[in-house]
Amino acid sequence: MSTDTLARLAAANPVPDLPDIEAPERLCRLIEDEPTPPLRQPRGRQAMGIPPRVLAGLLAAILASLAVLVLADGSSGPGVNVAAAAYAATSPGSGVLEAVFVTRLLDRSHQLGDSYSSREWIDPSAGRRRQRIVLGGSRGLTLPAPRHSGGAVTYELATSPGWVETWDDLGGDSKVVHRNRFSGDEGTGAARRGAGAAPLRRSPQEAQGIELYRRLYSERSLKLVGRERLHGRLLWKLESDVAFAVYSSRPHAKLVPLAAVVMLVDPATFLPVVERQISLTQPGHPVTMESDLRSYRRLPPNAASESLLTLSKQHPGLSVLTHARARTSD
Amino acid sequence: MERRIRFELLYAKHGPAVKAYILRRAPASLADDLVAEVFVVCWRRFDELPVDPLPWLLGVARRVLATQRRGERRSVALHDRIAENSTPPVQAHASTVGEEMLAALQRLSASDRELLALIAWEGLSPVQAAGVLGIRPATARVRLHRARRRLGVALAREQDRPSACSSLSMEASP
Repeated sequence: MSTDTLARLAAANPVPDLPDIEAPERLCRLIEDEPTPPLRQPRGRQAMGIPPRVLAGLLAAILASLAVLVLADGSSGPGVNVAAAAYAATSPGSGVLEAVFVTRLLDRSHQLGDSYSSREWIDPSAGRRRQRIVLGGSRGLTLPAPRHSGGAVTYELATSPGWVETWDDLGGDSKVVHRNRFSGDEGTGAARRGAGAAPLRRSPQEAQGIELYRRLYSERSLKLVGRERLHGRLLWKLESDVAFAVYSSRPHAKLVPLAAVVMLVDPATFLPVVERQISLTQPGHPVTMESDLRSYRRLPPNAASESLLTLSKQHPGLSVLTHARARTSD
Repeated sequence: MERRIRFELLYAKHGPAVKAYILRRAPASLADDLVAEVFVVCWRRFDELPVDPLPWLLGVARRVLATQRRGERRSVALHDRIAENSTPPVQAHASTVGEEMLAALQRLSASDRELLALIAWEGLSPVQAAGVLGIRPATARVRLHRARRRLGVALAREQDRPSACSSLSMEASP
């Protein structure tokens, strides 16, 4: 009966086959963060004359104290799935989430100046988002022309299922909110790197900030690759190896990777506090953009929060020009 | 470099077994991160590895899981949010045939469950299981004998019940 019971238990194994494991690259990057372990000298049965049981007890007490300290600091081994925790931390529940980023443009090849600030409002449950980007101002705007009288340009983008609204105060179009049907989502259908891989976007400019983090997480493309010390704080480092790509225009088009993304996550709040975009098309894969999270808050679900997601409600004096014809992300 | 190669070979050889062990006890969404944590500990203590490293690795996995659960309790609210907002944890799939057995297993103490699972699911010998649990082999044999008996009794009770609906919750005893 006993043997039979064990055999039946073995037959009820909930994971009967050995699962696949990740390629060792991520693990190797994790251990590269670790100091090389010193070679240990063989020890006798007693060290410093202390009996092994007492020594083990002392060590256990010290390790427990260290564990408490480390856990209290929030910088232990992950303990939780860091990517999932950050996703949860950026979920506003039934309200709207507001985040402010300052982005430094490190790629000198374009003419957008050295930095811009952006404010983002998202309601993931409704699939709605609005982003306001302020370029220039006192930060050395180098947009070619026409220059805005105040030295800064505001650009806004609001998305909701099936629609994109845009507005900017640059030039003569500043009295109009353009409303477009949007049929091609950023995932662009079957643009995938393989089974289970992330759908790929066409432009790094299309999504940033919290929204980008949440999309990469939901596409399961973020991996914990280690930790990084920034301004004295040890942050979790998540990476999406190819976050953006386009199809080449040649016959038998292939996917061309454009950019990877690195997110640094605060171990205490699990908020993604730094977002980096890394060019995969330039030699040496330089960081082209780095965004710092400056503030973050959840807004209650009410009419005022709702209105933050709609451009026409934020700019009631403007006319709305609806373009009924669907456009894609091309 | 030679150390690194040996480490990667060890990961390739025992990584799947460690991941299977974790998958039986934790949500699938956590498995890869927890496996990585186990092998980071392994790297730190690479010179201390015994000749048969699997029980040692499973012992580390057991402690990593226990730490993860303590962290879980400390941040219940956060995990509630994860549960609400992220992919639901993969539940252990109990086949119809195995439902009664899993329900019977649930009736046992955590230490009995862990010992039986190490033998029946991880395929360890009682001596290896003793290594994972940090007990003496003789103790493991005695506990195994009793746990088998208790499982048999629990199974008989389950079979007497009109219907059994089980969900598996493997939690290593402290």
